[in-house]
Amino acid sequence: MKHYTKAELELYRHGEMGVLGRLQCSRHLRECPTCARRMKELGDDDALVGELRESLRFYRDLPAAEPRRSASTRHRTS
Amino acid sequence: MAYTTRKSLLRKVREGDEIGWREFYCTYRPLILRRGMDFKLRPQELDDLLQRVMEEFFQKELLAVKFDIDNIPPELTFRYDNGRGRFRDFLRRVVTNHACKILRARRDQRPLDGDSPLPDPEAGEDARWEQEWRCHLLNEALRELRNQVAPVTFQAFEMSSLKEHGARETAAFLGISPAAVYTARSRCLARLRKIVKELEVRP
Repeated sequence: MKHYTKAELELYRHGEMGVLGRLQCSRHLRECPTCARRMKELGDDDALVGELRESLRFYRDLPAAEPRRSASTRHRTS
Repeated sequence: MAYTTRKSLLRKVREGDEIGWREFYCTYRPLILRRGMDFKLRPQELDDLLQRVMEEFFQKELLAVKFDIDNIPPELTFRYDNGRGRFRDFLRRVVTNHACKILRARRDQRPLDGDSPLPDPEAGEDARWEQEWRCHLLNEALRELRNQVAPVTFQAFEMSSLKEHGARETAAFLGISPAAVYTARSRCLARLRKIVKELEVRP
């Protein structure tokens, strides 16, 4: 049995396959546990991408200015 | 095909390599500032926190010479002693301790200016720190990923997944097929998971 690649499954789930291809893929997914599992892995990929976007946002709004004072003359408060 | 040219700082920590001042500063500045913001430090206090933490890691050398903090000589380095435990825990303690000292100093100088209790550096905020560390780790992994895959692969992944331009738009921009964009995404995520796993091993 020929399995679908992740890229092909991405095309399927984003509605970017032709009508015939979509029908074939849909039928195949019902019968093939390997491809069904691969399809589920795409959901895990989405979760990781969400986390990555969040991580990038996490650092985006930080103060831009860098310290300029001399380290040796900085007034210690403790 | 490997494009690796630069070892990440976390790998250096783990392997006991020398770490340069500038590299440490650029890598950990965001994490230190984020931690300071958790304690509601003011901009000047964040600046102070950053310098205190840098001094903690590079103290001996910094105290021995007088220079502007932006002109630290590249030979100024430190080596993390893995006997101190996990680097992330050590860093958390250092940053939290200094944040508390700054808060204490603020309270001592202006006792009537908001009387909120000081956080305990050893307790409480761990879940938040773990989340912040995870963000840091993912940012580091992304940086490393960029060096490990072909530029067009990274660009396809970055544009379609991180910047949310969509596969079609990315494909048209890069002159490749949408399937190739998805392949790039899949390849990058698989590699990224591997990098994250490697970085998580010890530090």
